[in-house]
Amino acid sequence: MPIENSSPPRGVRTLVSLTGAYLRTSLQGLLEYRASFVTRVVSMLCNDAAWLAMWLLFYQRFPLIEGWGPRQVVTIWAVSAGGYGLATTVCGGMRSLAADVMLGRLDPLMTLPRPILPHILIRRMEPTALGDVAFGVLGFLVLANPTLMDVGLFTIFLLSTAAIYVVFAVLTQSVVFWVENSENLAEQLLMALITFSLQPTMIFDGWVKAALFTVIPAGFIAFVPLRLLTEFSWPLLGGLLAFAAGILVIASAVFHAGLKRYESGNLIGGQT
Amino acid sequence: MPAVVEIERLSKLFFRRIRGAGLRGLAGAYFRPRTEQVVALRDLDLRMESGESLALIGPNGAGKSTTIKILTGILHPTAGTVCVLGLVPWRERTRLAMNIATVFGQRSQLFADLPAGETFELLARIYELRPSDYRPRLDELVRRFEIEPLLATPVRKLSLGERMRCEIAASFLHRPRAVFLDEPTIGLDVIAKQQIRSFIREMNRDEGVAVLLTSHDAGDVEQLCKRVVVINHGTVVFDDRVSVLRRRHLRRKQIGLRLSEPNVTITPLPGVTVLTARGYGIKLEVDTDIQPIAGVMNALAALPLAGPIPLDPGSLGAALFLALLAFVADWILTFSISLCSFWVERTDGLHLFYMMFRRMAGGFVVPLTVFPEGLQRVLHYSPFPYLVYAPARIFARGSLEGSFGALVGLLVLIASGLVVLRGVYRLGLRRVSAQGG
Repeated sequence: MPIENSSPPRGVRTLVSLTGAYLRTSLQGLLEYRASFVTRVVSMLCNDAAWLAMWLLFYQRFPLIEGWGPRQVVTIWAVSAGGYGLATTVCGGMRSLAADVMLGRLDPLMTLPRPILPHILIRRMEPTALGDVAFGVLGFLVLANPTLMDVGLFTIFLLSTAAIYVVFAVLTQSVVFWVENSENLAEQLLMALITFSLQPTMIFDGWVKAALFTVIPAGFIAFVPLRLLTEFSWPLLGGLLAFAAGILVIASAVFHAGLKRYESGNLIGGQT
Repeated sequence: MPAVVEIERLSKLFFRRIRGAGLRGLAGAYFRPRTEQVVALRDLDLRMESGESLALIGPNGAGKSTTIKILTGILHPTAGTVCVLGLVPWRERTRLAMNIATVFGQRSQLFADLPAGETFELLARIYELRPSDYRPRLDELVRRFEIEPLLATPVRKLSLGERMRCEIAASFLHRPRAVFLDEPTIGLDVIAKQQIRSFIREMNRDEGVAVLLTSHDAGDVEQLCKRVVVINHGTVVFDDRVSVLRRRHLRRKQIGLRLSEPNVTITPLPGVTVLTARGYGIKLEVDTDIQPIAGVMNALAALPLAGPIPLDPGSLGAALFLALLAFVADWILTFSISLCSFWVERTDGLHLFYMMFRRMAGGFVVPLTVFPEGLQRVLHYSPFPYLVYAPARIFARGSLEGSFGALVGLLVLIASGLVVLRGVYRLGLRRVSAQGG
């Protein structure tokens, strides 16, 4: 009984449309618990602001460390927090991917006619993420005195940073297909990426700096955007985008190779 | 006839980590991990035709769910070939998913915090259904599955039966040509099971949807499927019509008798066991390998079986009067649930629960005599048995035995119910005025 007309939805347009539908659905789900949602968004905004305030107070006492001042701190906080917020707003499933694999929670998604990886990523929204996005955008616009070009570049950095966070999480969480219970390792690696992306990259040197552009690619979140804002160059911007695209291809290949080893599971559960 | 599913020599192996008990076992597993091979499927062959309804049964761990997961592209097999609607599931998963539906009884595809209607909308986007196709289809499924009152309720607040109706309706939204159901009635009560079976049967009959289901419930198999495949240790051990399975392997039959005289003793017959014998009723079990059913029926014909019901005006009147009182008591209880809306936002759930309880306790689903005697005594203090069951018994027996006690009980229940209702209503009214102020 061959299938006559059965093309599954494909293409960027349908993926964007589905992402929009999932964002709406997730937001509705979160608003079921309105007080909890508002509290979490506001708490994250306050948390980011408190960390930034601490750094700014620090720089009031010690004005410059190797050309590193308040504007730089504001910028990397805005890029990193905003990018992470954007990543977890749109791709909230990235942090639970390993747990979903371990507990066999991919089953219902695999019965649907959509590419599995984007579907896993977009089906959940992390409520605190909206606080991060708000902090990133407001912090940059209000505190970094940006020009119009800076705002344009900042938008590109938000997208590239979000992409790097997502694919890094996919890559590290996909290890679970080969190493059981590696969720914690993946979580620690993501935390390391976030932590290093908020530090002044120029204080690192040698092997550590090399690692920050490869194993823990924090350099592409903090150092490269800062350099581009102070001294723009097309090759550097191209390098940043090429890295984001390259790591995306690798992460997707690793995930799909791992998916062949997926063993499902029989735990009772549902969509959340 | 074209095949929906073609499986040849399908095998699936899993590897399971093993470790000894205690700290030593833990340490051993850490430094020298060992795994063992688990054979989930071994050279399984299966073919399912278009529009067919097929049950896959077998003990836990036999490989039923694994088969369904391979057929839907969730798992990759270790060896063998599989073709579903002409596609290889794990290679063309998304294309296949446009044409099949999968329902896992133990897993939900609905979002717990959202009303089911929202998930339907999302599924329409996932399958890229045009509004002109989606709207009429949704209306049709809502009507067929009787889920209109449920669409606005968050899924987490639905009962299991209600949720499963929504799950199955969701799975038919995109008009699949084959549906795979993995234990669709697990954990459901008798009524919900019947509803689910009836819906699936209708979809199979009216839309020609091929149905492959796994279940441990013989009712699912007998009522939904014409063909049954039994698998054990990952391989097919039986593949034929359900009727053949019943005849060859389900040898034990039960016979229930209603007699016109109480406490009749039955002459022992080889292969026939008396399960219960109480009053006017006897239940027997027959091993058809030892004793053919025809032989048992001949022997039973000599017993004083209850004949046509004699029409007795006295017992008819008593039965009708008791039923009337019982309906009044039932109305009081229903109204008292509605009064709960003074305190809770929605009482749909309570009403549904009450209706379900009423059906069970009223003997609408199964005769009350199947319940333990203690429970039967308790139930007779409620109005439910008097709605239909008790009047029918009084009428059938043609005697007024037990009707006086029932009459007194119902009158007391109605009187006390009215007093309580009045009090509750007044309390509730106070709450309304407090909110309004």
